[in-house]
Amino acid sequence: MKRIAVVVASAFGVAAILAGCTPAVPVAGAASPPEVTAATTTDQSGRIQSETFAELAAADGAKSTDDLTVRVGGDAKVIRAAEYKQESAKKGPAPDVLPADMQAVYVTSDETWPRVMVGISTQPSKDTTPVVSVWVQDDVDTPYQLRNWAHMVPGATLPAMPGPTVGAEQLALDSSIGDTTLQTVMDNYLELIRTGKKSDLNATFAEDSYRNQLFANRDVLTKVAKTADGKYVDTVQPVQDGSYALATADGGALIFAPVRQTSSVSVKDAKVTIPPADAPLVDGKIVDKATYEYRDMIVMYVPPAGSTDLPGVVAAEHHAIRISPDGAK
Amino acid sequence: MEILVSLRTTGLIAGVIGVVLLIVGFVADSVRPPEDVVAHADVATSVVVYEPDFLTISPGGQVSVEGNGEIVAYTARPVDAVAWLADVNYTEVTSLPDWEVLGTRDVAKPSPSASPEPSSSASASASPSPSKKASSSPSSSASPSVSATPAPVMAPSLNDPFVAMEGRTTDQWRDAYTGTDQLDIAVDSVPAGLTLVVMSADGTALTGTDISLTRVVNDDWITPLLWWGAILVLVGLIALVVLFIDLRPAQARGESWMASRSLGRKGDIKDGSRRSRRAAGAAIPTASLDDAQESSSDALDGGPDHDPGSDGTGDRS
Repeated sequence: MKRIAVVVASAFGVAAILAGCTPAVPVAGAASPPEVTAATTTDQSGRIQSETFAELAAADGAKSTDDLTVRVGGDAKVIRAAEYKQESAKKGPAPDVLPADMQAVYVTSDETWPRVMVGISTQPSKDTTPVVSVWVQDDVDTPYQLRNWAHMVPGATLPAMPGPTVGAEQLALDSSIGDTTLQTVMDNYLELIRTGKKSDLNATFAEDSYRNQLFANRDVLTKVAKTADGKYVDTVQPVQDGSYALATADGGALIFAPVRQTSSVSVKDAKVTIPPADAPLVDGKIVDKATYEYRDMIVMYVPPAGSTDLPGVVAAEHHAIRISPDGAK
Repeated sequence: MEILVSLRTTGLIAGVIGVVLLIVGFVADSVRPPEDVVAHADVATSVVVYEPDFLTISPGGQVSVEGNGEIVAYTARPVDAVAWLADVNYTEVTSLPDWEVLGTRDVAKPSPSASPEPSSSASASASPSPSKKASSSPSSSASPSVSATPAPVMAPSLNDPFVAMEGRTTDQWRDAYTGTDQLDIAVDSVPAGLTLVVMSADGTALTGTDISLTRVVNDDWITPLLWWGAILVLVGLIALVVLFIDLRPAQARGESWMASRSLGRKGDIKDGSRRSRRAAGAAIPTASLDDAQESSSDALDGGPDHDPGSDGTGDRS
């Protein structure tokens, strides 16, 4: 009897020891990095785009910016409002066609805010170049918003960008490329616009139709003003807070810079006449002075250090949003 | 006889060993922990967070979150999730202290710092004096406001999990999972390196979260042990049965059979047999060369292979 008890006790002891050999609780390891390190995946950017263009389509249908509440904001909303006004005029121009189909989307890899996302649309029509649309997310709680767009300059090509999986590095405007900063490049270009084509800076930028158009308008309006003993004055101001830059695949940069412009024509003993299409933009009574306010968008390519290419505008937009007798509010 | 006794004793010992093995096997089997384990933690916040590193603890497993109503889960880059979580109270699942217990930590959003000085601009635009143009009598056209109906609260749903919650965008979320009262998410469906953020759609507190785990138990030895124990017990039983059977008649028959193998049918010694030779004292046969020669000549003279007709002298004796 005693032997049996010993045997049974031994069996239980052995079983307990063996049962105790079960493995310890697992310990968490290190997860592999995300497959998509860009700030937004293709699905995310697709959601943003589809919601943007749905909102835009609703607003276009109503010819009102009341519906532009979430996905469209900033200059884009202001410009669209001006376009709806112009459209309301007799034979007024239709708003810009912004295709929802994108041939490329540039996303940032940044981990801080604000973040920028850029879409290059398909060509809206054979007479119109593709549209570069810029979305901005101010912080983690606010949605990406379409803030600006610009048609590509005829003949311009966009540089190769990092793919959507890794995203492009978002650069501060004080970032250097070679011995110059992006801010300097933009400042020089705006100075060139202010000064005119006779500026020494004209040779430091690639040719673009945007500034040529501005210079041509300036010449015409200056002559018109002189015929009535008046004068023509324009101003060009950058928008520092709304300017962004993405690193290109070749080590250069793509700058997206909103610009504020005003063009003021005043005459003596005469009256300034506003074209019918612009009449809905008039705010106030225009007599002998009219000041146009513009919301412009410039997309500038800055080639990498050591490149023989010149910085140049690859896309630009020039939208009048208000005409008043006394200038910007 | 001794052999049989020895076999029987060995069988009995094997039976005892078999019983021991069976006891060990059955006890081990009864205390064997299950392979499928669910670790649980109670939750009291409306948001539960699983970091990507922690999810590596359960490859092929499943994360479950219980609550009341619709539950929605999202994945995001860790840095984006951290930024979003900075403004909410949440529960982060951090560890596995025991196979069936999840370790968590509750993180409260930073409380807004109280301004030490009241704003001096608060009343700058206040104009309490009523306008003289304001009618002193109530307008007859005044009517009860019908626009006081609260706007419908937008919340993620099964159909559209990416609806902004409380005015906060969902742009940072990559994948979405939805469920009602309980949300089960396969760990493998969460892309590697992404944080999993689970929340109730209406902001109410969740009740608990589980993660299923597979425990690899080292129990491959138990089944063979039981089989060997059973075999040995069977051997022991046979030996035990044999112990109670009277084998003496069989033994006697066996012994007589063995004796018959040793003796002739009548107990006589056969002539020419080895036994007869041993009895005659010629235990070891001797070979003589003379005998060999004689036998050889005999063979030449009248051997069975010799042809007697060839020389006419042969004679068979």
